[in-house]
Amino acid sequence: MPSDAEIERLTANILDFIDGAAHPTLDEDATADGDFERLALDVFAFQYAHSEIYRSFCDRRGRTPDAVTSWEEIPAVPTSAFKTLELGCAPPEKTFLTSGTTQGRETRGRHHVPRLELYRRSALPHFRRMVLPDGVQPRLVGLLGGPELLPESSLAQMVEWVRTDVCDGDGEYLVDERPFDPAIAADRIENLAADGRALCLIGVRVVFTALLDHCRQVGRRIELPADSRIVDTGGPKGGRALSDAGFLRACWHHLGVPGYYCVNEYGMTELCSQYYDDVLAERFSGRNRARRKVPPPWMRARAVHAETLEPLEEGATGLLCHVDLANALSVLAVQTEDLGILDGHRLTLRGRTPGAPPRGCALALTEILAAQP
Amino acid sequence: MSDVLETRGVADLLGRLEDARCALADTTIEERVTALGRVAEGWLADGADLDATADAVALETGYAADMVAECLRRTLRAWSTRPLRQLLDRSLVAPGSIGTPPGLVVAVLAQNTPGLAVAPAFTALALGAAVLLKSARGEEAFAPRLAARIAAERADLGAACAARVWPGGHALEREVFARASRVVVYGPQEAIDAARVIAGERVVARGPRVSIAVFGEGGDPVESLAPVLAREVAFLDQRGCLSPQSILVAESIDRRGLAHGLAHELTRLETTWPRRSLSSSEASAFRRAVDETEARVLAGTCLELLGGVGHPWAVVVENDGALRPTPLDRFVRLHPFRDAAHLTTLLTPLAPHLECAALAAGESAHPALAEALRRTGAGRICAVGRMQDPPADWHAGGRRPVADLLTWSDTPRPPSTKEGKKDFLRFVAQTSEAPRGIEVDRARGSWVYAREGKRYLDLLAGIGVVSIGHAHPRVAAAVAEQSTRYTHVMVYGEDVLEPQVELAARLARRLPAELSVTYFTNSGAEAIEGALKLVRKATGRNRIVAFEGAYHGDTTGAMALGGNPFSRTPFEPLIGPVEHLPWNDVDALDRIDGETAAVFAEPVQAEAGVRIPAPDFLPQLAQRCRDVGALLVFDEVVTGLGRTGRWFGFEHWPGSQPDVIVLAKSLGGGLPLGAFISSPELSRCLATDPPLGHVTTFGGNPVSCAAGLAALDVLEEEGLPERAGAVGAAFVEDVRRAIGHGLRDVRGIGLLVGLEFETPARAAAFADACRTRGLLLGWTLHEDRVVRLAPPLNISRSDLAHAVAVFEAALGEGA
Repeated sequence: MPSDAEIERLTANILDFIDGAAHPTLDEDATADGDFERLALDVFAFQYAHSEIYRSFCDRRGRTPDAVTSWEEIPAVPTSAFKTLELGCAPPEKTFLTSGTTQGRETRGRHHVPRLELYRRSALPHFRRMVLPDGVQPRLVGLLGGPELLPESSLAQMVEWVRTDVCDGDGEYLVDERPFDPAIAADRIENLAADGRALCLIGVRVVFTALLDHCRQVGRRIELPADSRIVDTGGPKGGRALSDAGFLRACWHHLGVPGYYCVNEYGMTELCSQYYDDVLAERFSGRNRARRKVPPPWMRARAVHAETLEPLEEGATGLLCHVDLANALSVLAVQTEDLGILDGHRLTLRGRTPGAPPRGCALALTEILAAQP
Repeated sequence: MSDVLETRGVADLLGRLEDARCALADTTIEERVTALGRVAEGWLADGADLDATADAVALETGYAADMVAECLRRTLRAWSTRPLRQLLDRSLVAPGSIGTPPGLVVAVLAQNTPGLAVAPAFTALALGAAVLLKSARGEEAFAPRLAARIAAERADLGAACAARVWPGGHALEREVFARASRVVVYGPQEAIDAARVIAGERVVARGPRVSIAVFGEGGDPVESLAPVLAREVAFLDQRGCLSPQSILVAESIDRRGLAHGLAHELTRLETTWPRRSLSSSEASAFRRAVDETEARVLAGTCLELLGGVGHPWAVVVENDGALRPTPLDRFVRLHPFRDAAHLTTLLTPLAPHLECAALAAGESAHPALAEALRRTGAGRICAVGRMQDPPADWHAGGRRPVADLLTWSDTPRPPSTKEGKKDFLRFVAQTSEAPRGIEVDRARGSWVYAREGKRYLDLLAGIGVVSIGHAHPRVAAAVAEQSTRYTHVMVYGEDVLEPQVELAARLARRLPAELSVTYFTNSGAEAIEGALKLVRKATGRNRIVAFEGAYHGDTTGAMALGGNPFSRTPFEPLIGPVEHLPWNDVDALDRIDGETAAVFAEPVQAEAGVRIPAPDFLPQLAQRCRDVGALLVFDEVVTGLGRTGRWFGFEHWPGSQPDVIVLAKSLGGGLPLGAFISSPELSRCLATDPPLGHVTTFGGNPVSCAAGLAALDVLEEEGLPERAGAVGAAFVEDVRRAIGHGLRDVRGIGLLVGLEFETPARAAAFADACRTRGLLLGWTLHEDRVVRLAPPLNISRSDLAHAVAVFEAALGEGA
């Protein structure tokens, strides 16, 4: 277990980096990976030293701080391990749980976060930069449950910080413990839009879909005020979700929000930092590149072979491993089940690794055991 | 590659399989088993072909070729003569119950394992069923090779076995499944469920299963067992249901030692049986399982992970007995267990799915562990190293490989004909004192199958009715389709019924232009009756001329035309005046006079003993009719539609075109249908003065017309009239060589053939002897010295050669 002083020193270093980092993609004066790499290797050494489980994990892989010379070599912990292992280098200030999947009775992953401040200080600046590059201070409309309803959700925590810190406390959540009623939500959004202040609708794709389906079915169009924008966060699963293109079309048709004001967030419980579509940031920086997802300067990704975990060439579709300095006190490097293509730091998601279809006459025990009460 | 089955080929394929199955009825189980056993043994001996087959299967499945070859060898050994015979001996006996073999077995080999086709093919063929093997897409190399080996060994078995691929779930599959007695599905539950949607309870499910291995105390040293265990795990990369996914090891045994030995052997096996390249999804599943296991090792809930990412195998040493999933592909877990009772508890979740349990244990531990495995419902308990060698009669997972294909009945269908014949004599009106009395079970092509199991080559085709063979699939399909559209809507002549209209138009195109309007009836006799009314009304005369020996039917009007006083007299007075002229006598034609409404004649007198007229007789008859204004009616009920080698009999004699032609018998493709066809002017006579002067309720029934159209299609497409001429001439020549032993003459036109004997007794003895030998042939109504033949026009030359051989034997016996 590290001492408080070690924790504070590392935290301070990370926060300094976060506060001062230029964005390698969005900022023309950004430096190379040097500072990031140095810090990443420091954090790796710290975690190797202070997390016995992570140390064993690295030893199994033959990757020790002595042998690792670049951030890309840092062993990444599979997201599945968060379901089994108590990962972290210090007692958690808060533990967030993964949402689970449609596969049913499944242990949820646990991300123990020793310093919430690292999470907050990571999440908010990148949100501002990617979602509010024009400096607008909108009213937040959460199409998800608030932190009281979802105390274990890292997303709910982040959105609440957005409401309090970015939107000056102005906003509300339209999902509560009752079944979501899109008609009521639409009415409320219309009311909130009445005073002309820009809204930032943020929530999960299935709730957006329910709202937009309702508008389509009843022929409803809500004119959101100018500068309003939409942030959809993808999962969780468990309902009908519009495709990306269908979502953008519906946002325009039924909410009057053009596609370039619709930003998709890609994050996960196991990470304190997030990716966002760069569509708005690009627009307000005067560029016009195709929509991609970009991380903050304190997070990097690499794509690896889905079977061998060997690194892939840039441009190849592979399993995404993220190295997030904001995870300095939990798990620096996380290996996901998401597939993506990297173009420098810019990311295109390609879905998740598929489940293996049955082949042959062997019955996988998975099916039998899944059926057990 | 398998042939791809397409919609237009379904009826033909199923028809051919059914024909082949019918032909198998002449063979015994022993003959079939012997032949199939030779297929297996011959293939095992033909190493080069077996290896080539293994290479082809390996290429498409990705499995190691050596491993596939071993899989095929094991399969063929399991299905060689002796085990196959034992299987049938054991399977076909059930006290108090009798199993009826299936007709067609369709085996769906969804996501198959190499050699899987052998089991359904051999069981079905051994039972005398036809089998259609549906390979999985992309795994099509084996089944066609198996079918070819069977055909090479024995043609009749090969004809009853086909291998195809086709898309699942479409109309084509519904058509195939509809004809199947059993649909055996090897594959995942989704494939089984999809088949059940179509074939319901006829589906025999061979779903995925799971196998395990158990190591108890006192068995052979783990070092010696590790190599065989590794082969069990690696076999078909655990994708076969006989490879262990979990290995339960007694606590007292060094589990880690066994795991390391197993890991070592799995590494060694990579040189001879390398794991196939995994798909991205399989690779991901494998890697995920490794990730999760690695985390559990770190968490201390699992002792050790050997192999994993970067290795083509993974061995996990678990520290408890809780079974966990594996992604397969050589990923195996070793669990500890305390004792037999604990083993039972641990295996409880697997109970409904457990296929095979391999057991290695010393003498003292073995019985209790085996009993524990039995209690879990393991389909088979065997030694480690024997998992991949299931015997043919292994009750796979409690399912019976043969018995599942049979229909079991506690009240068996009596093989005896006594009851059926008794009821026939009691409840069905008799037409003679000694009816033939064959209890017909089914008929197909040129063969009729009796309930007692005997089959007959039908040289009479239901008196010339089924000229395209019995139960032709095209007719069956047409009947099915039309009967689902509509059967009877309105009495004849009121509404536009498409099958009637089309058939009438098709007949008109085949006939001279003047014969363009058809009046449909139910039968030939009824058509003669209609023609009688027509000619009388059209000419205003009532005198009719017919010929001695003629037969036109048994209704009173038709009978009045009949030329046999012996048949006619008991029912007189009949309609008149009718004068009977001598057949084939040109001089007698003068008696056709200006009072004569019409002359009725058969171009060839069938019932009089296949009497073919002299070349000038029918032309002169036609000329005489024209001279005196009498109408000429040709009864082509027998001779029409190809029987004589031309579409219509009168076409043999130019200048003999009639005014009215009467058709029936083969017109309906086996269903009742008759017609009289005339010119528009003539036919109008029946429509007016009085209106509705001739009506029929059922005449031209749409279903019969649809069947008739299908039969007409077959006649045209296969050129059967022309074929009848050529085949018939050759057949007559062949039979002529047998003249002697009482056979005096053989004559024929097309496939209407008469065998004339010296005496009626000789003819009767010949007919009896032929029937005993499995031939159906008929006498004639008016000439008891003549045996008449009118086989299907598509009868095979080999069947005709068989008939000639039987004739010779029967004649020899008569001598």
